[in-house]
Amino acid sequence: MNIFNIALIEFKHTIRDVRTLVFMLAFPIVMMLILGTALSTTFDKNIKIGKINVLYTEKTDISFSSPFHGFIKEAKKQDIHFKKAPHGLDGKKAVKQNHYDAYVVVTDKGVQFYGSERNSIQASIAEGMLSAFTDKYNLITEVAKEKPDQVQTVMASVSTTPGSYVKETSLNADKAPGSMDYYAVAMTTMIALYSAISASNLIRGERIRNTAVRLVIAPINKMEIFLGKILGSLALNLVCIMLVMAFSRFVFGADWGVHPGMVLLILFTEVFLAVSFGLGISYIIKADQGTRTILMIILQLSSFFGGAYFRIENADGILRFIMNLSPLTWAREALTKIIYNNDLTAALPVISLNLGISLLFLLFAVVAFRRREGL
Amino acid sequence: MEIWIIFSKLIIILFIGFSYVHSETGNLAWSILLILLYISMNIPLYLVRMEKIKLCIHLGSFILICYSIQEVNPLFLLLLPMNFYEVSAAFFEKRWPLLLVGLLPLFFMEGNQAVYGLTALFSFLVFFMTGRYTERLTTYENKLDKMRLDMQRLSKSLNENQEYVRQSEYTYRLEERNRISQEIHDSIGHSMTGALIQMEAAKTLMAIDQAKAAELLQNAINISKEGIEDIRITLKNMKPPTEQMGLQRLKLQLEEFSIQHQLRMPFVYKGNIDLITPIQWKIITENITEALTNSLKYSGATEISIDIHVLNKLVRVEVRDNGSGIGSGKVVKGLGIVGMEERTASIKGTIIVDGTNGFSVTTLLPIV
Amino acid sequence: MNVLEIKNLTKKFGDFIAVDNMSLAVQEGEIFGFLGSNGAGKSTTINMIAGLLQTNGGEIKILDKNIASHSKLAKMNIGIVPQDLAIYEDMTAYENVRFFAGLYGLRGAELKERVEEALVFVGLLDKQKSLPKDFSGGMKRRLNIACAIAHRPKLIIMDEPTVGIDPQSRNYILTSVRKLNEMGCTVIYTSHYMEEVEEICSRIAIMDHGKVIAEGTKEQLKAIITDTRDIWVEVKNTENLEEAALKEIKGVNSISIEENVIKINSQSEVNNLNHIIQFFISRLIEIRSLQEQAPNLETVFLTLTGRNLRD
Ligand SMILES: Nc1ncnc2c1ncn2[C@@H]1O[C@H](COP(=O)(O)OP(=O)(O)O)[C@@H](O)[C@H]1O
Ligand SMILES: [Mg+2]
Repeated sequence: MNIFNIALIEFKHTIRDVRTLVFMLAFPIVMMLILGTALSTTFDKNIKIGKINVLYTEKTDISFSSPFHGFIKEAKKQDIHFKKAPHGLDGKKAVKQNHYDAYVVVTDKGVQFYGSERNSIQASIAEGMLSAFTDKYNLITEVAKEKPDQVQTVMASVSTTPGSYVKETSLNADKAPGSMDYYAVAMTTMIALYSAISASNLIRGERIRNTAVRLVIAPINKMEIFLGKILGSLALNLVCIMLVMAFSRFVFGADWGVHPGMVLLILFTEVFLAVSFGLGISYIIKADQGTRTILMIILQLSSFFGGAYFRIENADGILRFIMNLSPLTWAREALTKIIYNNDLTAALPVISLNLGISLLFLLFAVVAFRRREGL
Repeated sequence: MEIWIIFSKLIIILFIGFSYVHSETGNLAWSILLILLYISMNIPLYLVRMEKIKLCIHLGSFILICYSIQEVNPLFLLLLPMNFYEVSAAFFEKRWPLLLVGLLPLFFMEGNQAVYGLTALFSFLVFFMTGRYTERLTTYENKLDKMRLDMQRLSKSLNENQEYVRQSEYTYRLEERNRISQEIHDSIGHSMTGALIQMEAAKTLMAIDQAKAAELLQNAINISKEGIEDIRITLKNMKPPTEQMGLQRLKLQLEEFSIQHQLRMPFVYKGNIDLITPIQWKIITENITEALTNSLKYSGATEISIDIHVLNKLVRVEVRDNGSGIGSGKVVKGLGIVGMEERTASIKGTIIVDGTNGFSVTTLLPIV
Repeated sequence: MNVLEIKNLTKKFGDFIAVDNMSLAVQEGEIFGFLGSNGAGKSTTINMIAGLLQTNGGEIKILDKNIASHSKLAKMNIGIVPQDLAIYEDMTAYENVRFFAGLYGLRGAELKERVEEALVFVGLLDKQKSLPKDFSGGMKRRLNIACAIAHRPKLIIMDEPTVGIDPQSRNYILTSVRKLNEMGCTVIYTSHYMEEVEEICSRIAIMDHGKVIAEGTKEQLKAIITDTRDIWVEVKNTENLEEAALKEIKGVNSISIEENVIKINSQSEVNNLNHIIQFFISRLIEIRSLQEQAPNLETVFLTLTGRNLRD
């Protein structure tokens, strides 16, 4: 009950702090608007994605190769060019050296797919189409086993509607992120990260305001204070993020996909990460000014390398490594996969990473908190 | 401590060298060059004293290591943790978050995770253990030095004091003896001689004029009686009143101190000094002595004022110097002050030590 | 019964000893004053009583129970008005009091009643919906008090509650302290304003450098220094003054005359002012002015420590 009261009071008085609210709501929306419109040309998908080159080897009999060739033909219309690998060429190496976007080995067991890490978008488009194709093919083999007489009809339907591969992969050309979509995700994840600022102030604010004194002298457990504060902060930041999301969805028409639950879950874990991080930092660094500075530096770097301000493409080596350090990158990439590829499994690593790191910081904060005199 | 770190680095370098030779990749020349470069960069690290230069060297090492990882062999990563700890230890209080940071590359490297993890942990352990124990060692040494000095000083002053006490006791006794003999001579000496003469006369007259002799004897008796009375009075006068004793002794002591150390030492007393009991005098004197020594030792004062004020229910004794005092107002009590406190508390008094305006020690003793 | 008992309490900050082996007891029904200059250790002592600071030795008992082992009981029975304002500036007065009272387990109708009671008590009921950031200093101070009393503590500790406010609010607060006391609360009142402490406290501890250097009622404290007072009577002329008769008046110790001022030194506990005035009137000596030079707590502090309460 006390936890709830403390959470509520935290929520209330943050919400009355106009500056924070403007920062958490207006700032991302304005940024979305500015960056989303100003940089919209860089998101022209025709130019960006362009031709996709896929190398393939076939180690199969005729029965499978004919629908596969049908698929290749159909794919060509979408500007995906399949090329048979010449003898002796190491397909994987060719992809690595960036000559091709992907390499496909077709055997009678199935299709093996190697995507380029550099051109991940191209690779994933090809992958998506291929996976849709093989899905269909598996269906056919199923049918072929059970009811040989119907094979023909299904096959026919396959070959007559080849365009449907594309629809089912949901890698329709229309379904790549436009600039507004990109910045909606980027800004929301960024602002989720910025929860760390208010979180670093959670306990410190009470100390500065002196109200920490009253909390400590009250007959309640210190842990109740701690949990209450975290809860309040989580709730408030989550509400802010949902508002930003809703605004971008309904006003800017940004695409948030068809799995809002999963998207929210990822954002929630990110807020959790940010809050624990802010709290942890406020205990690691004793000086108040220092906390703020270091936090701002870390957040700005994370935002920058996480692609909040502009998209970083084709990164590799050190840059890729640095990018991967940013929680924004994790969250943004997972969200992109969920929204555009329906790839729900992409959520798992980022959620567990976020939760894991959060718990670490939280643990540290709890230990420091319990040891400290007062709050 | 540095020797341990140097050796650990050497071990890591050796390890890298071995694994390198075994892995038979090319670029041997390059890696030897880089290792040598690393060594030559890290040796001055332990020779220079300037923190800034050290930082620069560390930065150089970082760049070198990064370059080596990128271009020659990822194993060079193993050198990173030690340099990282050396740099960061100066900036962060808490140790174990550094370990976590040191372990971070684990998540981003391919292969060799176990080796890297081991090295990072090993470096952490070596660095911070040596750091901690060296620190402890130096504090112990400093403490030992200080204690040695203290002991020397104390035993010296003890000897001096003993000598001084012996001397002055002897002098006092001589003075006292002299005074008593003088007094006895002055008062009873005369009456005794007078009585003796009368008695001699009485003896001679005994046969001739008995009445006269009886008169003389009566005289002698009277004189002796007076003499006895005199002795009583003399002794009574000679036994000094307590306040006189305490006050005089204190005055003497202050004078001596003032001359010995060339200090102005105004001494003021107010109120009914008689109310101070001998035990209180003892403690007052001891506290004043202690406070004076402190002032002399720490304050650089040119004047120490002593003020005894007997109030209605309290004796207040203040020793105040015009020295540097304690700027922050936060006096840290040493043994001397604690000693004064204990003495004073034993007769229900209090000590106030204040450093805001010069340094002052005030003793408050209740009058019962 | 002792509401508060402190034995050999010590607090160190590093090498510096802020509270030095302090002992004292506060009985039920008292308004007990801590008087001491800035940095004497008053707040530090209070913070230890409140459980905000760990002690470095010694014992604190609230209602005869050690606070180390009965912290919940102690906390329930203490209300603290911190030296620095401890309120949420962007929550209304009502919300502030309700939140803090709620931490003491009050709920529902009872909570509401207590909150209103506290607000009425400090005279802020009509401002209950306003935000403290629009309040004057005095009003903030009063809200600060309301937040500490809503749970009806047995012991209220006020740490310099009147620092930096207008005289009106100050009087209001002093009156409330008395009222709280009449309602059965024991109050510990901390201040470096001698007048306040002298006005409302039934017993006073004078603190300096973390120690209690004197303790007692204000009469007892003054008696430490002297048991006499000087009465200065300025008269038109001193020609036909019968000094001997004046000395006969009960309690008069000595008389000295400087020009037209007669300085009468008299015992403090004898109230002979009437007789003295009578003396002059009956002899048709015209009194021009009359002053009493009795020690106050400031003098006591000055005499004991050699310093002023406020430097
Ligand atoms: N957290 C702290 N760290 C170091 N010194 C402190 C701390 N808190 C108080 N002090 C010191 O302790 C002494 C007593 O302070 P305080 O109790 O606030 O005095 P008062 O309330 O009587 O003005 C002061 O010298 C102050 O500087
Ligand atoms: Mg204070």
